[in-house]
Order: sequence, then C-alpha cells, then structure tokens
Amino acid sequence: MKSTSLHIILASLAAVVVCVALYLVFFVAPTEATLGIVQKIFYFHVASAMNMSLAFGVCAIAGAVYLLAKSNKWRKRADALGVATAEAGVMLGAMVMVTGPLWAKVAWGTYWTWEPRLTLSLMVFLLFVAYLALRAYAGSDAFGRSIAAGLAILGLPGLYFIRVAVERWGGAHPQVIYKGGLSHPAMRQAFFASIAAMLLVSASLVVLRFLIERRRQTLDELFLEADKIFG
Amino acid sequence: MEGVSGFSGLTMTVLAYAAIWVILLVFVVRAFFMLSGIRRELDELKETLAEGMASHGSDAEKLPKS
Amino acid sequence: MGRQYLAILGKDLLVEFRTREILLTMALFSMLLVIIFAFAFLSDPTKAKDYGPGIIWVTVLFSATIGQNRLFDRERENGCLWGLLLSSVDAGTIFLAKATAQFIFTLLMELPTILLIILFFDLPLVQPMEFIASLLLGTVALSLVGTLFSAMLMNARMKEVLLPLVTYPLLVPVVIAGVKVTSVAVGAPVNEDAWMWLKFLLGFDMIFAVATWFLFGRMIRA
Repeated sequence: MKSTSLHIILASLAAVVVCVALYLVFFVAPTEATLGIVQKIFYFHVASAMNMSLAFGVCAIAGAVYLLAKSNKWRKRADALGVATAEAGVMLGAMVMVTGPLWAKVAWGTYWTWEPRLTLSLMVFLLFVAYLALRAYAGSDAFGRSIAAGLAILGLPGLYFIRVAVERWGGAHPQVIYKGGLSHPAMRQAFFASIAAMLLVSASLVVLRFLIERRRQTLDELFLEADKIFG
Repeated sequence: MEGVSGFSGLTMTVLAYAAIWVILLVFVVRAFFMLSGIRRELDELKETLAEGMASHGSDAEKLPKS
Repeated sequence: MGRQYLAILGKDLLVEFRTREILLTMALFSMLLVIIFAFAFLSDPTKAKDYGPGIIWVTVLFSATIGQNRLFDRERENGCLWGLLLSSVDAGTIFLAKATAQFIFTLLMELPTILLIILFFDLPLVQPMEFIASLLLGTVALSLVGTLFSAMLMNARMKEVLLPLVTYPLLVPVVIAGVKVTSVAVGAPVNEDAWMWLKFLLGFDMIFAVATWFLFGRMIRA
C-alpha cells in the first residue's frame, strides 16, 4: 500500500529529527543561568503545546467538514481525521500537562496555579477528552460522531483564548517567544529543532491513527455488505 | 527562584522527558493493539464469508473481494 | 418564523406549568445543594464573601444540568422532535424556542435559590445591577450550550453522565466570569474589573448563540 510506505518514511524522519533535537537540547544549548537545567523542559513543553493547539485546530476543521460535506466519502475521511487529530492532541496535551507542573515546581515553587493560560489549556484538554469519551460511549453511530464534531468546533474560541490569555489577563506564564527570550542562538536552534521534532512526531502519529481508522471504516462496510448478502 | 537546589531541577527534567517517552509509547502500543484487533476482525469476516459461500453454493463470484 | 417560535415556546411553557416536572426537580435539587453547601462551608461566617459567589454559581450550574437532562424527554417519548423536524419548521427556530424555555426555567429556579443563599450566607449585594446582569448573561450561555447538547444526547446511552462531561469544559469560562462579577457585587476584597468580565460574558453569549444555532441544524440532520 502506497500510503503505508509513505508513512514509514515520515516516521523514520520524525525519529531522526527527535534525536537531533534531543542532542541540541541537552548537549549544545547552554544551561540557563537563573533556572538551571530545569529550563530544558521548556523546549519540548512548548513544542508539545503548540502541536496540541494545531491538532485540535485541525480536529475542529475536520468537524466542520464532517458537518458540512455532502458526499459520504468526504464525511468518512473528515471523521477519521477528526478522531486521529483528537487522539494525537490529547496525547500531546497529556505531555504538556505533565511537563508543565514539573517545570513550575522548580520555577514557581508550586505544581499548579489557576493562571489564565493553565486554566484554559486544561479546559480545552478536557473538552477533547470529552470528545473521545463521546465517541466511545455515545455509540459509534452518526449521532455520536456529529455531536463530537460540533464539540470540536465549539473548542475553537478556547484555542484562540489560550493564545492571547497571557496578554489579555496577565498571569505568571512566561512569554519567551513574543518577548524575545532565548538570547543564545544555540537555544533558539534547539527550540526550533524541538518544534520540528514534535511536529513530525504528531504528523506521523496522526497519519498512523488516520490509516487505522480508515481500515476500520472499510472493515465496517465489508461487514455490512456481508450482512446484506447472507442476511 | 534561585534558591531551589540543582538536584531537584535535574530530577524534574529527567521525569519530564521520561513522561514524554512513556506517553508516546502508550499511544503507539495502543495503535498497534488496534491494528491487530482489525486483523482479527478481518479474519472473522473471512470465516463468515467462507461459511456463507459454502452454504449458499455457487454464487461466490458475486461477493466483493475483501 | 416568529409565530412558530412562539407556538413551540408556548407549548413548552404550558406543559411545564401544568406538570411542573422540570421546575420542581430543579428547584428541589438546588435547595438541597444550598443546604449541603451551608453545612460544608458555614464554619466561619466571616469568610462567606469569599466562597458565597462560588456557591451561587456551582448551584446554578448543577441545577441547570438537572433541568437540561429532562428538557427533551417529552420530545423523545412521543417522537415529537422528529415530527417537528419533518414539518416545515426551521431547525434553528426549534432550537431557539427550546433554549428560551430552558432559559426561563433556569431563571425561575435561580430566583428562590439565590434568595436562600443570600439569606443563609448573609451576603450583602452592594452592586445588585452587576450581579443581575452576570446572572442573566450566564444563564443565556448555560441555556444555549445545555439545550444544544441535551438535544443531541437525547437518545444516547449514559446521557446523564455525558451531558455534564461535554458541557462543563465549555462552560468553565462562564462560571469563572460569573464568580468574578459576583465577588465584586457582594463586596469581596478582590481586585477585579466587573465590567470587563460582563463584556466577556456578553461576547461569549454572542459567539455561542450564533455557533449553537448554526450547529443545531447541522448536527440534528446527521
């Protein structure tokens, strides 16, 4: 199958870039002066958070396509993309939610504060956990799928507010990127490598989950076909 | 901020990157369980089709190829 | 469109005021919640201003969910919703009528509940207009989101659990904004701009009114 071999290339590329990024983060980028080694959590934490937003954004778009598309073929594709991006996004969200508090314990002295960006991120994360729960429990019929698609679309304002939360409502969250942090070029290099690494990892996982979902759809169709013939 | 010992920072960093790998691994392992589940169901389907063809006799050509 | 809207809304209100099923269950549930909160928190009356606003909004949110779970029960039992959808009535009109009914029920539930909380916790309403505005705007948001997912989950297994699971993450910002405005309104020592949060609530309502109205038609046809 052509898509499978393409996916193997993508996954191997992701593996290589992850190794390069880890090397840059731990062996090339200098240790930050005030925070110490714990600052190295930042690279993959932020990269995961960015990719989480991207995954949920794509999931919302897939939801819109699912609800608006007329042809069954496109609806099925959008549905598979929706579940793939939602699961990848929840996985990335779990990474963000675990690495963030570990960093904050050292930097802020506490694991969690109810600061705008944290609160909103948790909310959007839970929203997509609910998306997966809906698909798992509301029945795999078209109804459960369309509710989940609608939920993903309603998550879009939340995604926007995560982005602007720190500027609008203040809070302790560092604004490294927009305030021109990362003075050292090696730090910047490590940061961009981390983003690229997480992007490739997420993309290959989304493709993997998408292909699995497409196969499941084909299998379901075959079962229906067999039922029709043999009754 | 500076008062926190370097030991704690190292532990947290190791924990954070370990957690990332574990979460990634869980996702991949789950995906492969799904794949094997689909394979198993496909085998079941093939069996059902074979039984059906045996009892229905000659109209096997009309079946869609799986 | 206006006449159809009024007909559906009138039918809902008439049936409800005859049976009082949703209103009574919501009101009784909220009273019980208030009493439980009173026992749980009333150890230090001087701190009532700190947790009073939170108790108001948690009670409203939980009780509204009780009502939302029942909102489409009559439509489901008689297949009424499918009948309405098959008729020439626009899905958006059905949604708006049901959401308005839910809005009215929730407001009627809130009235005695909040009076009770203010009495039990001795909360001084120094800025009543801001509080009422936040309550109205917050209830609009609760009703819009609740009605949309209540309709969608009408036939789902485990809908009682799934409804809050789905709506609460969406409604967290509403509760946060509501609590902030209420804290200012009862004169709690907080440094918050009530007007900013009211504008946030208004914006949330407008975005979600358009989004839920649009999504209802699309989702129900699926």
